[in-house]
Amino acid sequence: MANKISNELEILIKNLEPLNAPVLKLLNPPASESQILLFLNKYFAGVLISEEIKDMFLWHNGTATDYKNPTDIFYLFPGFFFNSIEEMQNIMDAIESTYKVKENSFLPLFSSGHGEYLALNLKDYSNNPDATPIYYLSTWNPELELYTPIYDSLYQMFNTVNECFKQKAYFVNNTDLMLDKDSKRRKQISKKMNPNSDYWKR
Amino acid sequence: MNGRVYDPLYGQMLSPDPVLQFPGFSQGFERYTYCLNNPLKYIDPTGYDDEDDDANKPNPSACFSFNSGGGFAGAVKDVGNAVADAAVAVGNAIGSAASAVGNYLSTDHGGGQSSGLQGGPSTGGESGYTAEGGSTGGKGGPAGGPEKPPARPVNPSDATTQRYQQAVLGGPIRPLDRTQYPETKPDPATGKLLPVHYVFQSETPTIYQFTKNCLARDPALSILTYNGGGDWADENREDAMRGIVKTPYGYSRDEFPYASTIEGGVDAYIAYVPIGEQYIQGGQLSSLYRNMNAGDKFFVIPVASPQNPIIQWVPQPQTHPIQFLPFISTPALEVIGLIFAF
Repeated sequence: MANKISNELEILIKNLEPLNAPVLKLLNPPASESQILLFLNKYFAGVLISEEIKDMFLWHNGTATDYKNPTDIFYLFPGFFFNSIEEMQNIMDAIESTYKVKENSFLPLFSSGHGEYLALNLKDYSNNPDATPIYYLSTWNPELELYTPIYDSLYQMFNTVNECFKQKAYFVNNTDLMLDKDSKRRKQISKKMNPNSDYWKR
Repeated sequence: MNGRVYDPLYGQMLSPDPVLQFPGFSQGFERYTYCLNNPLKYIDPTGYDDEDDDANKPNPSACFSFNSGGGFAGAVKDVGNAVADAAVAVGNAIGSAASAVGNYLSTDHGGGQSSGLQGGPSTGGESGYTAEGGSTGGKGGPAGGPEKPPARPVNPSDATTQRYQQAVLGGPIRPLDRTQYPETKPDPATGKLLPVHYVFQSETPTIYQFTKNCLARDPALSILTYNGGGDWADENREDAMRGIVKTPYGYSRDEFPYASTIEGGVDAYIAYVPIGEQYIQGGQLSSLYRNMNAGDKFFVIPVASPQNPIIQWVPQPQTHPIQFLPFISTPALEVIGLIFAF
């Protein structure tokens, strides 16, 4: 595992460690290569498998979530947790009729746990990862379309997240010891680092 | 579930719980509820006992301990959970009583029988309207003047809407004669004409029921104030989701009052609704907001659909566990915390 996504993930973990973020103890063990390929071939048949995406699940197979604890404890960065392969399968099956995830080749890598997802078009990503945006999938916001570009690329998403930690836009809330954010600062950083993404232009 | 009989029409158990759960917790003596009236937290596939480890069950005696891992904040949260559970039960009882009278929700323009869950004919009157009040603590507002967001057009032939209608409603929505639903309505406090957001049971049955449940508890919320959307809406949404457990796949947490209103935010009622319904409502609100500015008020009116009576069960409205403390004030909790701190 030595690519720029992996490097950003390592930086992210280093950002989380001093904060004692609960998620550090809740990341699943790595998925097996066969498990990853089985999933990707089932939902993205014929799509070139990106090594970077595969490496993410060889790093950790997402997060061990449940229905007992607040979603805040699962978050890898404020608002979103890293989906396991099993979780992605469940999500993709459940939201297919609304988002047409298979047709759009949407891979929902991250979830809020409340019906919002961060997804990329795996087909596009395999061809041109740096020009493939991360979409914010949601139905709650009347201002937004079903999916809206929120980060200019997967790499830029992690880069932005890490910058938010660095500039203290992401931190641990002293009240509940969960990850929290300074929304204004997050927006400033994210907008600057993702000039092509409509989400931050609102 | 072998242990008990559940009536989906009324959203109620027809047989009492054969096992007395948690004699030390008042909710445990309510034998006709399901999982301590907290289906989001517990499940009971057999009907005999809910599946969760004992450490996580409400236990008022433990609520004031500092063993929850969060210090005082954790203790407060535990108190909130326990009180919220109890309050939901009280709310149910109040709601049931009001339903029996059949006139608690005067904003329901069903023109006849309302849904079986609530029961009773609606009056269609306007006595329930009051000037703004109720929920507090929501963020956002016209101060600072956020720019008006671009409106998302409503397209009834939208492919997503059609797919949803087919999958969830079993066919296209029956056309409504919208001429009988005026676009504006006078504010009883000021006489000013306010726009109306109708929540049609025929189009968004789960959201209709959720809205109706919320307004039954808090009729003042039938008039809301648009906050201009943008960052305010995002923050309200995020605040309302803090401390909440995961939502089932295919559903999204819905809030009332909406995140796009000043009344929304951390105190909002929340329930999970099918994402297809939420998308439809999003389009409707988008159209409504197109002609509104931050600070403008509007009515929210659920409309029953006697000709298309889809009875929809939704979880009782829930609120953020820390904020929903109807019986114990925040200063009182602080005193309790200080006592235990020493």
